[in-house]
Amino acid sequence: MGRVYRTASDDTQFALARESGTLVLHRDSAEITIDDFEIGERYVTVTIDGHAHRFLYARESAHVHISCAGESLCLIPADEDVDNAASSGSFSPEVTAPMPGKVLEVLAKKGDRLETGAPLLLLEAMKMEQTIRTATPAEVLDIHVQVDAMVGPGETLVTLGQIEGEQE
Amino acid sequence: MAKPIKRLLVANRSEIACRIARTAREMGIETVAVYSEADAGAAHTVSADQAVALGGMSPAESYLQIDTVIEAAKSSGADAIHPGYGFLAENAEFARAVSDAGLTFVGPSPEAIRLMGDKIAARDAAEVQGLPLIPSAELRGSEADMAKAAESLGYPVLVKAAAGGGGRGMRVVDHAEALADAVAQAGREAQSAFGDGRIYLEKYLTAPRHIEVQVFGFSDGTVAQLGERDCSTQRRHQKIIEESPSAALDEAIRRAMTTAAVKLTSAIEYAGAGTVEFIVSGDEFYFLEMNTRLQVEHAVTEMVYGVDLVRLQLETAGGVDTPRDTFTPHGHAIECRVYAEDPSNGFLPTGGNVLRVDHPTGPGVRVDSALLDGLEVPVLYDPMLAKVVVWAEDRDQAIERMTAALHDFSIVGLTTNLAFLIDVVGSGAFTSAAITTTSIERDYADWKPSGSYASDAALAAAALVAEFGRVPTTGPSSPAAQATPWQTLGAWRIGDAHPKERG
Repeated sequence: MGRVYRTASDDTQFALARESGTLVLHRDSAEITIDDFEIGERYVTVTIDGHAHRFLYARESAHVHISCAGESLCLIPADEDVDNAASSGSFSPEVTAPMPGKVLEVLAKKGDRLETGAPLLLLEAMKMEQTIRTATPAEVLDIHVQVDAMVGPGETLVTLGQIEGEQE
Repeated sequence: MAKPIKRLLVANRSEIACRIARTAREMGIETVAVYSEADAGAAHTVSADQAVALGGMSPAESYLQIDTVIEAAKSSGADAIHPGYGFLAENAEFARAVSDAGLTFVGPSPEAIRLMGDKIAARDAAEVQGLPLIPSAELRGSEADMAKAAESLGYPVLVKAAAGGGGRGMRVVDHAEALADAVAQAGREAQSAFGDGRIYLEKYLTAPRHIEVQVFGFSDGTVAQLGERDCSTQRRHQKIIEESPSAALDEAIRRAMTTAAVKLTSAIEYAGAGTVEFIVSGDEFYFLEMNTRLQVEHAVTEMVYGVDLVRLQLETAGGVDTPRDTFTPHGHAIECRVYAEDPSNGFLPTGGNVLRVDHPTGPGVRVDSALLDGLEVPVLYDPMLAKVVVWAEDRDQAIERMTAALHDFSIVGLTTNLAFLIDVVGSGAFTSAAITTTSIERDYADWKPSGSYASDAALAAAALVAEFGRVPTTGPSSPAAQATPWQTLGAWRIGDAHPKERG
């Protein structure tokens, strides 16, 4: 196998390999043979099954960004260190800002024991209000921001403790 | 009294500031841009003949500063100000201050702005002219009084800002327990967005369509209508797709609505571009509000009627207009709004850096955009980045053209709603014109981009760039980190095709 990559958005893993003189993309169990490619200043063209596909791209350090059918995909070498804090589904002690914005109101306080979906704080970005809620039943261990603070995406807002034995 | 405009200050930013300046230049009018600290490198700033810094970052510190904007007009020698939409566009005090400073305000009189800007006064004016209204109630007194008012209309009710627009300061309430919170939140949002926290209650119509009529008042009092725009494709009261004509109106309702719109516009002696908004539910239509400005979606009307509404505005404000009461439509136009938001993550605003952008082109395709390579999209302002507008002989062709144009719109580095727009435009609900104002929230709440064959090609293309592309010469990249593809893959050759580098 050649070098392994993943996408930033959904962690799709795939690899580009050279096999008997041919470039092959491995994605899950699929093998996609690359007939030809051309890398220009702004566009990269890839020919697969006789069809040429052309994409606008840009590089940013080791990352490659590419536009495809309205999406901006970001490709990252899989060996790059990954921040695994926000693994989906399970309990996460750190509640982070999903977007840059301003803290309008802090709705929970330290020591509160909250049900799933209870509001923690109110953020404002681009003039729209967004309520940040807990995804699981939890106890508020710490609140890291105050009203009127400007927060960046991924910034920790609240630290939660897991409440065991209640619901699931 | 009115005199032809020679130098125009555009008191706005982003795509609309660029769009207004373009028409002004066509007419031989010099353009002056104003910009906040965040917009020093923005498209509207760099493309104007002159640009004046307003200072400040947030709208309140920059584009909403009436005195600073008027001072900028005076210091730059502008003789007129176009407010665009949003910001000061529907601020009667601003329109008055512009006139008082001896400058031409490109828009209606301060009196007309004040009347229609107060949604309660506007409803009264519409009622006097015989326009049908949605049942409503004032929100006054104690929580119990408000609960009683809501009860009298029957749930669901809509809590609305008296000074509202663009969906801000608006909340749907399904039951009595949620009323107090919604009132507080809507009031707060209204205060922050419009500087006016007053709100009222309205009966909420389920599955309605939002259809509006473009009107234009000339300097001699002639009022013309330029048909309707169907803006039913919206989410949380924010419009996403607009089209003209509406596929949902029969000729009788269309005639009744446009006649009503002209009647109201004439009655208030309105000059310039305006929009009378209606809610259509079944065969009934109700007056919603009148917007005393150019709308975001004015371009669909321009495409169908073959007019430049900004030119008409500038001519009318300068007293050199040619009044006419009839405009003739031809074909079908659709607009999609491209937002810096992530539809697969609750439509949250994204913001960030546009690394590269290429706009769609072609016959019948128009893009109003302020996107540039390397543009940092600030989160301080409205998340709309650009508008894709297409025209074709009929609606089906317009949909095909829009789908192709959206695919050709490449924005690299910033998450936008483009893939979502492609999905909606191609959906059965849209192609069969069945979308109402509640469809998107109901059907697209958990939207995810659909993985496709093309995405395999995109992944391959990105990996090929990572392996074989030239190391970027700018940015924070470390050449050492990228020098290894040959170690990984070894020497290789595909038939006789070598990796090529284009100049």
